[in-house]
Amino acid sequence: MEEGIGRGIITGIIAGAVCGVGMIALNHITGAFNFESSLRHNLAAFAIGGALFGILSGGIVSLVSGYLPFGKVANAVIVSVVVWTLLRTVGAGLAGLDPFRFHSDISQTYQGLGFSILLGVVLGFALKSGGRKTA
Amino acid sequence: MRVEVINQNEVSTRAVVAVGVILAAAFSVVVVTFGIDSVMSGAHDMFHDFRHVIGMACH
Repeated sequence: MEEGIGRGIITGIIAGAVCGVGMIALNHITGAFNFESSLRHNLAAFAIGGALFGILSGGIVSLVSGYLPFGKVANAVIVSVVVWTLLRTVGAGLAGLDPFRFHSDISQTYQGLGFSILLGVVLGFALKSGGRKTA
Repeated sequence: MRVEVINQNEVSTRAVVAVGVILAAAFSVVVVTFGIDSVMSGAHDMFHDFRHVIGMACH
């Protein structure tokens, strides 16, 4: 099992970093947020942030995939979306408690949901292809 | 028999390390997502654009 977790973490780092950097391009297309930092800064920040999300999602997928009834891709999408939704829910709670410090934007929220789905799809296919090679 | 016990210990250690990495990642994701400067100085500014792009609440 721990080898599966390790592979999930490594795969999550790569998938998360790729998706994080990909979100820079996607945000340019959607225009949901006007970047305030330089592209060089954002490349590092999005790669690190995406990799952290990837580690968390990949690790959890490896832990719980045996208990979920779907395929690897669907399981990864479910886990990734659940992780994002939990964080978003906490963020909504904070926005309710301190609306001057935290506030939400609906277009960015949809884009974030897209990020979690994209991360799940990339992670799921990466885990699936890795599983084929080792089998 | 002795070899089996050693291998089991190695397996347990690796499993604990893997779970520890996941927990550390969970904590880091919370710090990044909510920009908790008190935990990591500069976390808010460093990941400000990332936070907005993934739809998290920010100012």
